[in-house]
Amino acid sequence: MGLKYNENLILNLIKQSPGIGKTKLMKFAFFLQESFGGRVDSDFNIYTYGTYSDDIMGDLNSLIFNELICAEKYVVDKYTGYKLSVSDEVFEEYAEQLPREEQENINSMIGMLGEKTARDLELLSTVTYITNQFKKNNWNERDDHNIFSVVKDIKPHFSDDEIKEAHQELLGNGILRQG
Amino acid sequence: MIKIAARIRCPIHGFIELNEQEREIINQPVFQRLRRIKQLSLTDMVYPSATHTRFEHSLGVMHMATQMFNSIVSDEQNLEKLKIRKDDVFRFRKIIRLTALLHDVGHACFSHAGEDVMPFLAQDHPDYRGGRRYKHEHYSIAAIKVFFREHIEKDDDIRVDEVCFLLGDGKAEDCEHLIGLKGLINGSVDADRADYLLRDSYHLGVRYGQYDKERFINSITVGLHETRDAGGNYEDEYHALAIKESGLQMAEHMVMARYSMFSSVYFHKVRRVYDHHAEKALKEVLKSYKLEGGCFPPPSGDPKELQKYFDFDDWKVLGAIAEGRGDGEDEEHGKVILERRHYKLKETWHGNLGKGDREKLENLKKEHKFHIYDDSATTTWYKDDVFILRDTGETVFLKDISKMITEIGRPTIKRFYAPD
Repeated sequence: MGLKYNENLILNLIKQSPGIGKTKLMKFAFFLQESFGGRVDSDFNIYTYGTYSDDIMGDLNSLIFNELICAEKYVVDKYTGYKLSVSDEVFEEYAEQLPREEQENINSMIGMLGEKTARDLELLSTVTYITNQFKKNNWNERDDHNIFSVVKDIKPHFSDDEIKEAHQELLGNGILRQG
Repeated sequence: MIKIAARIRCPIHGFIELNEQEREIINQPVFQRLRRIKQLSLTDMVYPSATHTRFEHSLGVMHMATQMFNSIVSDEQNLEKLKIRKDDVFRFRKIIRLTALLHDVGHACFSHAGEDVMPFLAQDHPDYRGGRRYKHEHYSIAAIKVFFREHIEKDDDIRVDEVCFLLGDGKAEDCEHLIGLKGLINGSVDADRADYLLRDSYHLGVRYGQYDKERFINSITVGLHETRDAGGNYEDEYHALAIKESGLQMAEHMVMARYSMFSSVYFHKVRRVYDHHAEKALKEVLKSYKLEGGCFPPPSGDPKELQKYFDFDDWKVLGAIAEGRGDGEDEEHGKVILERRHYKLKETWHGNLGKGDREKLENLKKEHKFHIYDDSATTTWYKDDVFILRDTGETVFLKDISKMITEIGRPTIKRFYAPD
């Protein structure tokens, strides 16, 4: 009741993956909703920066500003990033236990994708989004080759082989279904 | 060169020019309906001059989007970054203008307050996730496909899907060539925001929303943002709309303007409660028209069905409220609006509710049979960050280089209202 559903979800995701960055958190939320049957109160859209939800980013920023989440800034060379964490005290005071089914969805998702880097997830989520979009719209005439070409348009810095491998991996672990 | 068919006077931008196709679109009844949708719903209960409409805002967004687009494509490097061929610039400009013009055409009466009485998404909809409602964008996309298709596609160069793609339509096919321009319509420095800050500020008579529009237009560009993880490993890179470093102060000012407008106007305690009264009165009105569950009909591909949604505008609903159709059996939200007798603020929380606060809230609910709990006034004002393209060529987040932006508050306000 105190936190919005998404805020509570974010606290729970970070609690399970301390030190996670913003990009990875965004992709976790995407996969949770898109591929693991989890509830996320947000629409994801595709941009040049991949799958993104401004609702999730707004809720995350809100939690950081209200000091429920610690965002430790790091600077590597000229690049800035944030490591996210939540303390036990804050979690105890504000977070609520997620329904068992939701927790199981998160466990499955983290079990499968938790070790992936943000870069891996960036590509995997883009391939997933585009493939599912083709399926939902029954664009049967657009085969895998078309999917790879669209992904390449959006993420030109990934090689053709990387895109194909990501697609194979997603088929292999069942996140994408054949046909 | 396109012939100018009309010039419309605008207090924010001067004259807004239209070509024949745009004039034809504006003259359609579904577009003219926007004259009867106030931009800020019942904000005039607090700021009496807040009576401007989605119609003039839509024209303004088209104008701003054009100026921003022109500024971006005037730099050949940007064309390269966005993978836009020079030959496509003219065509892309037309798509951007039409998208901006039509981006709000599906708004419900009472603007955003009307979204809470939209029906739940159909199971076969690509956005279906269970328990989620349609949004005004879904109605905009449906209207564009049903009512505006022939007017858009009479120009052989443009497909309706291209316009819908920029509005987030998951069914729009083969439009990825436009992905770099999405930020002009929906992003941290989009044309919508650029117009409404100035327009709302002007009509309300406040100065908070003002920023240097000319500097903004001249500063907009495309940057390459790269990220690294804490170990220094490459994460990702992408092109995004950004502000040149020479416009840094303007960008800070723009974020501050947005912050001030949200904290002083959009989150105003009385304005917020009228959003809830409007939603509840609207629900009763829709019930009185025998609409299932007191909800609007879902967006449909059938013109007759879709028209049932577009038959409702502020005039019709306020007329129904004046006839007493906005009152329910227990609560009289229609009368509240007519007589300006809104529920009064009983409790405010800043920040998130801890265990003690949650108990207090539950007690208040028990104490007041009729109440409104508003927890939606949070950080919607600052969902995403503005990119700055530094003179050195790096693209960074504004908050990472601006102490001012780091320090400003991000209001999280929860409020409990009840009748006196």
